[in-house]
Amino acid sequence: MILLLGYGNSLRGDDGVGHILAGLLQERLQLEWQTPLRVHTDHQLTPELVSEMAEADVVIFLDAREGDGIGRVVCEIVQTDAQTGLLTHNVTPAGLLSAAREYYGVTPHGLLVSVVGASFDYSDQLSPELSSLLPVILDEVEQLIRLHMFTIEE
Amino acid sequence: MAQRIVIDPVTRIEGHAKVTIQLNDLGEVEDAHFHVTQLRGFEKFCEGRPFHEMPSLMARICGICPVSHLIASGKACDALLAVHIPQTAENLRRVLNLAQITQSHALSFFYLSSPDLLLGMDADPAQRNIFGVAQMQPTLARDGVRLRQMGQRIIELLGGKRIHPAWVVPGGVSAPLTADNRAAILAMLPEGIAITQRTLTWFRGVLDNYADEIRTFAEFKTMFMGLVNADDQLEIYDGVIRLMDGDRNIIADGLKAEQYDDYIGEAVEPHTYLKSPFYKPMGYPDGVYRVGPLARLNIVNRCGTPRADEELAFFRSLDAQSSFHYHYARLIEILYCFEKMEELLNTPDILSDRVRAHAQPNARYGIGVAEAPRGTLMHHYEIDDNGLITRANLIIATGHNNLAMDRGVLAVAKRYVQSAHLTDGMLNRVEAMIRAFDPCLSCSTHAVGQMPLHLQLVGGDGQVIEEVKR
Repeated sequence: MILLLGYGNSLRGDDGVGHILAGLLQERLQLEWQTPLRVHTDHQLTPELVSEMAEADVVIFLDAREGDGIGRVVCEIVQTDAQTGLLTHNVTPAGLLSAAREYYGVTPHGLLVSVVGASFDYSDQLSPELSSLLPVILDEVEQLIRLHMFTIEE
Repeated sequence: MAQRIVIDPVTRIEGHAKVTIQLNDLGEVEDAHFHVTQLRGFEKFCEGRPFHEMPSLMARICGICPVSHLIASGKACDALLAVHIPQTAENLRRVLNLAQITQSHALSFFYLSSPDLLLGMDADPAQRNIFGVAQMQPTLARDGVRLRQMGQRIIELLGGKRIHPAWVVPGGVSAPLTADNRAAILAMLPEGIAITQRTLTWFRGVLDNYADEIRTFAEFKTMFMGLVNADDQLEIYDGVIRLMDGDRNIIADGLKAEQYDDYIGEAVEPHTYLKSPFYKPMGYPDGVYRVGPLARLNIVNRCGTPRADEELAFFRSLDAQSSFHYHYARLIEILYCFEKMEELLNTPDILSDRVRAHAQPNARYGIGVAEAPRGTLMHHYEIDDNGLITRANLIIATGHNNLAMDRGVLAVAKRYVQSAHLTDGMLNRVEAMIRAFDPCLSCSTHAVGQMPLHLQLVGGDGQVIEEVKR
């Protein structure tokens, strides 16, 4: 099972891009992939997500980030050697995957895909700058996920 | 020369705080304080906002207990409308609050405190965390995940999302419960009860390992305060306020929660952003009291559900004063929550679509009081002719416990801290005393404009050279 996990504050403009990407990717990927796909969106990562991750073969974290280059997509393999990052106010992708290993004896592959936002001010919509780039970002993220899945299968 | 030990930050709590321990010339503990070092200011943020926004706005105060604020705020807004909400809406709000208490208590017990309780107060700090718990007793770790997940899932099934749901609205709730969601919640409850009973059995078995901590955590007597219902049972949504002394003698009973200002005062101390509520008839600081699971179980005669009442019988044999027993009380309350949710979800009208009373504002002020996981939560709003908030006062559960935590820090430091050979385990016990209260500081620090600044210039010999107060 592939778990798409979009998270961020959807009332803080581009911080909600993970929610939007998760929904759009679900539509694209579910039609053609044999592997079951589960989508979860939330305000933030929480410790109990570890049990859902333990049921997954692959977890794709979809988040926003600050930085240069609005709409730039950054892709990182999530390492699972963290012994931290599972405090209640500071839950990290690495902490969750490490906990899946320690608690349930399974280690799903983790990929963190984050998109550079333009504005994190109060808004329940993406900024015009990021919104206009969304089709391109979606294609890029989809390709990254496909490449990651191919690499895992190899 | 006098010295000061600082624990900064206090770990495995919700929010940011520090502890200072003052030693005398002989290296003995002379004084100690619990400082909350963060500020949020929600009482000011909401001024000028339309009152009907308040439940959703207040839910944003915290990611751990948004539901508790949602409910207290919803009740305050009901009072502004001057309506009696439909019984189904009240029952649904109760279920939501029970789910909230379940997930929050699971977080506190399993994630924050079980490393101390399973691995020991003196265990290697590198191992004394939930990863260490998972390695030593994976079932306990997984049980904590599952209980928290259940509470969050029930909140999602009722309120639409796990964090910051906006389902509670002035006059009731925004949508009725569906039959499918009711069935999904009911299906979870037996597993929740089984996990909680398994954890209670384990916890009773390790209590004797902490006899010294249990005694030490009891070395400061306070009153207890909370809501109680007409049948003298545990009450998490309505009822009246009762205060008992440390020997479980009633000090005051039948106090209307809406008249809290008559009997609760709020003091401000220079060393912390957290206000210090106290029981007015006894003055400050003698009017210190505790709230939360330990207080709730101490002030009632019964829980009101069979399995929880069985556990309460054993709980009564323990020292009611010891803050260490917050942990035990938390587990009993989780059991109660699962049982009570089952009872409420089987009431005949729980699927009714009459879940909201509609009205315009009919009162200039409204007060909503409910029991949050950490204790009694009070929201007080005042509005103008246009329904805009002109004043908000929030008394948060963690705030009620501020004075008790401050005293507790001193008691535990005096017992364990020896400056000559300071160990991590000594300081961890000070932190563990605070963790027992499960303080959530993010929502409890909202005093703006009242925080006095106290600046001391201290010389190398520990003497105060200059002091500025405002």
